[in-house]
Amino acid sequence: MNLCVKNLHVTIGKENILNGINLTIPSGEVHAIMGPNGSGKSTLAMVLAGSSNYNIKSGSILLNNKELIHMSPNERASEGLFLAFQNPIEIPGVNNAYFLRTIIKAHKKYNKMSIVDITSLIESYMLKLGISSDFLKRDVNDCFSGGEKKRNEIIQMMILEPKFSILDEIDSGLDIDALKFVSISIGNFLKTNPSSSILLVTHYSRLFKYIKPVKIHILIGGKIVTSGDMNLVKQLETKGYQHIS
Amino acid sequence: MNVTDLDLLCEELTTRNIYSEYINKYASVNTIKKNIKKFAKSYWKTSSHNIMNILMNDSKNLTDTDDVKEKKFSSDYVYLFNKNGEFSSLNNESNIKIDVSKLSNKKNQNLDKFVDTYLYNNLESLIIPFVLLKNIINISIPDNCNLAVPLKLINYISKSNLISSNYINIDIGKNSNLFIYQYNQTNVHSINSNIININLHENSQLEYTNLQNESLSTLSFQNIFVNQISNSTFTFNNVGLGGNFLFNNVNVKQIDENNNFITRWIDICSGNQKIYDKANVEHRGNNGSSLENFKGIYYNNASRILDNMVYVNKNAQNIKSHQLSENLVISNNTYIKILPAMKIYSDNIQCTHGVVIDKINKNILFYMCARGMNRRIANDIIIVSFIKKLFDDIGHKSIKNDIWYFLKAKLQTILI
Repeated sequence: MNLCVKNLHVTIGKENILNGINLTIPSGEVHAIMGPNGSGKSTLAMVLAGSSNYNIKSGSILLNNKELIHMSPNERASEGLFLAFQNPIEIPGVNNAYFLRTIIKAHKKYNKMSIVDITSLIESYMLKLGISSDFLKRDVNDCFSGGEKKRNEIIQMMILEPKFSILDEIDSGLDIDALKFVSISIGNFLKTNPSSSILLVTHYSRLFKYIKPVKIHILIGGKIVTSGDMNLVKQLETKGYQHIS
Repeated sequence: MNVTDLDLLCEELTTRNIYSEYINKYASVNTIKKNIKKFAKSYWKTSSHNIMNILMNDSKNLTDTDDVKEKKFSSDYVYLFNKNGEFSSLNNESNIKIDVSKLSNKKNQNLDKFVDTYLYNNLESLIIPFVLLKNIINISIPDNCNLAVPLKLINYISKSNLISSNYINIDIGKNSNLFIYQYNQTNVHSINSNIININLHENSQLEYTNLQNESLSTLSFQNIFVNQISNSTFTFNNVGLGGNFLFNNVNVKQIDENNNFITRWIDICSGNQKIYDKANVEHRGNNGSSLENFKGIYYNNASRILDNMVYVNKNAQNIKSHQLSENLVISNNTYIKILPAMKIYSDNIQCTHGVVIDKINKNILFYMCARGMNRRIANDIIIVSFIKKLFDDIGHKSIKNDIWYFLKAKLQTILI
């Protein structure tokens, strides 16, 4: 078992955002969460990654049987959790090469690696993904297009090889080519990391052409109201969320 | 400090050097005393030491026990070395003509002209530097001279309770290009003052970098007055790291057409440092530009005032002027006052100004931590990245390397 969320209740101020989430994602599986705007999808992603903007009232988050609730965001990352942000943050003044080297070095499995080896590791990924080395000289997400930002998230995921990844609206703002790049890269990642699992947070089914989730969960009003296979998506497309709730 | 001490101080200052000859022309003794007292009162409120001690000690004859020879001078620069107020020019095999003279009762043509032009309107800024004045330095760069090696002006006060106060006149000839790097290092309880008058002639370029690495109990005055004739570019980089009280006053006058002024300020203030920065640009000719970027990081009880004015004369057309002040606040006990201002009397202009004062962006911090960095490292990277962009734009590699060395040293003392 990889990720197990039990009875998770989360608030911002006095407002309840997540009202008892129960979610289990076994190793090697891809799941998806869909839901209308404001249903709590991104909150769930941020809470799993350890954002301090939310109050966890009750519940537990287990990653490979380790409780994450009291861990800091970097400790969760070290345990193998990765969040691809819906709106990746711009960090002017820090170039991608430096940023990648620092985050690689921060991970247990790489922390004894020399800077030279880390640099060659990064370069090998750039080559594999067909990305120009100029990309490394640019500041993290600074003046990046929406597609470039999402691509950067995927590059970071591939290099860090997390056990569990949350991809929050990774398909939003992508043109057809960028969507293909992102999807193929996720597919390749899963092939080389068969025990890793992924939670896709999305509004649209277009990503499912390339990545087939085992399970779809529908989140409405901060609660998973139903789960199912790809047939659930077909129902959604014809009848909308109202029918489900 | 009591009233008697203040009177003593004023007496001491007003009888020094050539004060009476030069300054009486523009201000009565009472006005001067009033200004000195005003300054003294505001300074002593924040200072741990007594300016009288500095004045008394400075007037004694000091024997030179430090070995300057041990200091290594590289071939990366032409040096003008000022140790404890004594100037020497080193390894000057370039076209830079340097003339050093002690201030005496004899009139100096350059200084006379400067006094006539600036003193009356800048009495508050110039009064202390003027009454403490000791040396006059003339630096001239002939026409059509392109110097790849920067001139490094070292102001080094090796002893405590000393004053170094200089008037430096710099003439950059037509079609000439130069980098000047002023490095300030002092011992405890000293005063480092420079009045720098720069004349940039047609088609000339100067990048002037001022690194303030004074001791944390030093009082520093840097008054820089620049005249841009035409088609010239003046770049001024100011990196403020040390000093107990720093007063920086930069005045740029674009006299004729097609002049550009670029300035980048990086101030890292910590402890009980007090910084007062003034930047004043006057556009008189057409097609001029001024691009001003100020960045400050504030720790502990540090405080800073930035008084920034752009003036566009009614005859100056097609002026582009942009001011931006960005301030990163680390401590809740800092004091920041930014006063951007524009006086525009012309129609055809593009002018903007903006100020940002904020703490470390929590979203950036979370993003970095979510990638595995611990909070401390992420925090430090954000701070360094805040100033890096501005630092990267410094035009000469040797100067940049030097600045980075001292920036790193300062950051190491204050990063978590």
